[in-house]
Amino acid sequence: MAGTLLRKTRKEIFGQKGKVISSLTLVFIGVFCFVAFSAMFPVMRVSLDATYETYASPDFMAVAYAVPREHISGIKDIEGVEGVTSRYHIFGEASFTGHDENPADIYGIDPNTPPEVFKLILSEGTYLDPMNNHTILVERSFASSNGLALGSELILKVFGSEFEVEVVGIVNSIEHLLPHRNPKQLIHAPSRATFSSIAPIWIDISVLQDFLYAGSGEKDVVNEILVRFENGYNQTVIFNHILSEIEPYPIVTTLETNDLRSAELQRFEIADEAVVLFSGLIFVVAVFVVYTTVSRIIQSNSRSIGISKSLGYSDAAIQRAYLLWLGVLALITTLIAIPLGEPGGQVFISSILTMYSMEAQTAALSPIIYIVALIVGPCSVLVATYFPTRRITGYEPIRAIRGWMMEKGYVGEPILEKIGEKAGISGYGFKYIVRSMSLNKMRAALLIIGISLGGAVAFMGTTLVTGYNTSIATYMYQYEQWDLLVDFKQPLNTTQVENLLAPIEGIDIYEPYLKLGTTAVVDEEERLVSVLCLNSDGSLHRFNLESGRTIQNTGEILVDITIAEMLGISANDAVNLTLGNSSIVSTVVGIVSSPLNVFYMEFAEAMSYLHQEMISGAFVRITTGSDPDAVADEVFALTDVENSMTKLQASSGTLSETQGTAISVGMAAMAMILLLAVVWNIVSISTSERTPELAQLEALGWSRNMLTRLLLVEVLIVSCFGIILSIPLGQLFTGFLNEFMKTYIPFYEPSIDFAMVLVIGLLTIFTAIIAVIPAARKLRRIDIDRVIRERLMS
Amino acid sequence: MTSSTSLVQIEDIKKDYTLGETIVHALRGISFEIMEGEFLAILGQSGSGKTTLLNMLSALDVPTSGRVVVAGTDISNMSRDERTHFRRTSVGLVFQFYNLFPTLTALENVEIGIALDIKDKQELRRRASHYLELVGILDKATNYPSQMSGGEQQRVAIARGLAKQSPILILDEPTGNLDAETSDAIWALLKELNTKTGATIIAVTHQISVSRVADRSIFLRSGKVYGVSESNEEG
Repeated sequence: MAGTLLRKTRKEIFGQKGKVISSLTLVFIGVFCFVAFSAMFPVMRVSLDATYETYASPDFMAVAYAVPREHISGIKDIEGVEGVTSRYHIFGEASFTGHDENPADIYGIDPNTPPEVFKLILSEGTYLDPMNNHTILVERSFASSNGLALGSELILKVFGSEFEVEVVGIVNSIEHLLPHRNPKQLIHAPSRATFSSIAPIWIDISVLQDFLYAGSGEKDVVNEILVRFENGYNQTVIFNHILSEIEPYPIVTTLETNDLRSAELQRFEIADEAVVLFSGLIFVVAVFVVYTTVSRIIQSNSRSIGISKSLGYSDAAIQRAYLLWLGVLALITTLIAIPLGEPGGQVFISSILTMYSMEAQTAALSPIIYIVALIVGPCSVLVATYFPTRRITGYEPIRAIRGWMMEKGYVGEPILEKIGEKAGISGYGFKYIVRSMSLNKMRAALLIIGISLGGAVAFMGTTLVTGYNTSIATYMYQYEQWDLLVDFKQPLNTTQVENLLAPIEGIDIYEPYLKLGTTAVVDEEERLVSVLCLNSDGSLHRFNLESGRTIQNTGEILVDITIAEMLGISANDAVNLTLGNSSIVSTVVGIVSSPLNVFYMEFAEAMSYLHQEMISGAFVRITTGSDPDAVADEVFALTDVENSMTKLQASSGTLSETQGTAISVGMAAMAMILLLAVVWNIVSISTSERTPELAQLEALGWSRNMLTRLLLVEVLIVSCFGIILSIPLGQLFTGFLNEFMKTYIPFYEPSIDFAMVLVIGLLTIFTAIIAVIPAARKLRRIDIDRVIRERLMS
Repeated sequence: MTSSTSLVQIEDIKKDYTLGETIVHALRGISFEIMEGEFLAILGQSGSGKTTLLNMLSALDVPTSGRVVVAGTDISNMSRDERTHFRRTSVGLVFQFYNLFPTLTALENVEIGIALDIKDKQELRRRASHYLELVGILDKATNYPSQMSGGEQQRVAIARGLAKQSPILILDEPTGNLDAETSDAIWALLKELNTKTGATIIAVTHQISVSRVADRSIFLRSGKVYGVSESNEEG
């Protein structure tokens, strides 16, 4: 008896083969994505580690103002040091065919000896020619995406001077993939280099120094020292030895292994959560679609189920048969998706790594992932099947035998109909649609949820792009009141700065700052940190306090929230800082969200701990009516000035228009595919269910265009609800995304571009209408006579 | 009520269906006329072609060959949209399984059939109520189909067909789903309506007893007219 019931149930399920397959396809995609993404990250981690080894990634990096190369020659002899590279790194511009003044990271290196740390692996051509100092090396992916090849000629612009160079080598390098940048140049413009298409270029160091020290100063100097350690040595001890070698030359900042490598890995942890969220979203959609499909199967077989009950089959037995079959199908789907997901993810990540000159390594996938996939895949289908099959209890055998309707077929006048009537919409098309929706509330709800999910994901994408681009600008507008940022080549004293800047007519006021790389003892552990000393109660800055208060007394400091979290510092903690020869105990009175990972100290207090005045740069406000660009150019032309950046440049968006559009379009496309799948499935099912009614309307004289309009009206109604719901849902998703974005920009705030929201709303409606096309086409092919005769309506 | 004016002319219509590789000749050349105001019964056993014939008359389908002319218009070569328009303006249809909309009340089920042509709400309601009253179930106007018996539902369906005030009312097995007593009541009602409204009624059925109320009965067998009988009110 049970075997017969199972056979009958199987036929009922496979009677809706197309819909069952489309529903299970979504389960397949959910499992596949979950396994594939989960397989990607271990590979990426292992591959990154291997890449760090291949390219000899540094364990320590010091950014100095300028240190004679001879002075630091002893670093390579420190016990535990495996290799040292020193270089001069500046931010310039490169012009070449089709590109005018493209931002460029220009590294001045020894043309005779390739770097030991951050190795350059030649892809094409040769290393720099020591006999021709106008030869350069260019990073491979930048070269290929910008049409640069061996022999290409570029014009480089550094410190206002231009000169021609020729590409002699194309190299693989991982530097541009890593989070670090020259922090001296990126004060208050930290993310400019994060995603921008910046040209990584290597050139003979002597070329840069000729421009840097035109006519004066020591020429053989470097501003970046990169050191790689041997395994097994105490890193803190080596740090201190290196810092001693660099003394007395001041350091702008230091980066250690954690900054140089782990920051990316930490982001993977958040990405892991995003993977679960994304896969979960697909499962949610799959559950909806399975629910509607099973509802349809149950409803269309209601009479057959009623007759089965009259023959003595229990509700539980019938329900079990459905659960069993669909559970088995879901298990088979999951078992197919899992073995495909793992290689799928690995192939995908391999292609990405190859794009970035990295070699994919193998990494085992945790068995927990398989177990979770095996549980979630079938369980999502079982849950989605359980609820519609509960309706079986309401199918009375007596009704089935007599050929009566098996379910409640009417509703009262729904609220939407009353609203419509008040708004003057009272046609029978509208009445029919809203009552159908009210009769099958779950189906309408699923449509609304599907549309709102699609809208929400697209909404999240646009807030991401606009938020990314406006966060820095908003921060700068709210908290920074300077017009110009000036970096000096070497720290100067007050008199020198005054002599330098006073002649410039366009300058109204300026405030000096000093940035120093030093050490701090936190919880009895010595850490490398950077301190930015500025006039905290001046007129050119305000702090974006997360907790605590601003500096009011000596001995008080503020700390950026990223550093605070990394070092485990909270407000009112004491930190032992080394400044010059002084060891001072400061109290953290506030945690701030800022563009820099630094401690903030009062400038005057910092000077009191140093042997001499040291000013590494100045924040400048220009006089009213002056042109910031003109003043910036005038300041940049000064001999002692290394860089001069306007506030507009510092605030510029971090995503190019193309990149922003790509992210927006990508997210929107993903969202619309989800939406399309849901609406397509549900509208197709609901149209099938209502085919007899629609055929009857046509028999009564309603044209096919009028019937198509009915479907459109229904989708428009649910789209409106869906779009409204997508706003809070989008905000919820955006909240999840914020956590991730804050690792890049601590003060990241999602920003709503209402024009984009409007576009998303229209796109959602458009996609929903597109999704109705298959159902509408099917509707136009209805054989009225057959449908009316064979399908009972009441 | 039958006039001497011919309303429908059926001229040698044939209809073939393809079932797999087999061609089924559902209608094999049928010709007859229907007079204005006539109550015509089309009788025959299952598979005789009576429903196929009705589909041609109601413009739900088109013949393979031959012509169907209704009030001077050839409906056998119309496009699907033209046929839809024809049904909207020229015929009222009643089906065996009532085909009422479960989400609409009896009154609304009647209204939806005429709402395309009557925009005035009050007129719409007045006419729908009138026909519900005519078929004797105005008291069930606010009931949903699932709250009514089969006979009541069929009355609503007839009211919907009549409310159009089309010159022709076509019924397909209108009592096929009803018990004998209700069935007799429906036929009596149809006869009464035919007399009162002067509508031309064409009913397809396999119930021979209908020939007692119809003005004329046409018997089909294997897609051909097998016989015709004139009505005998007394008989």
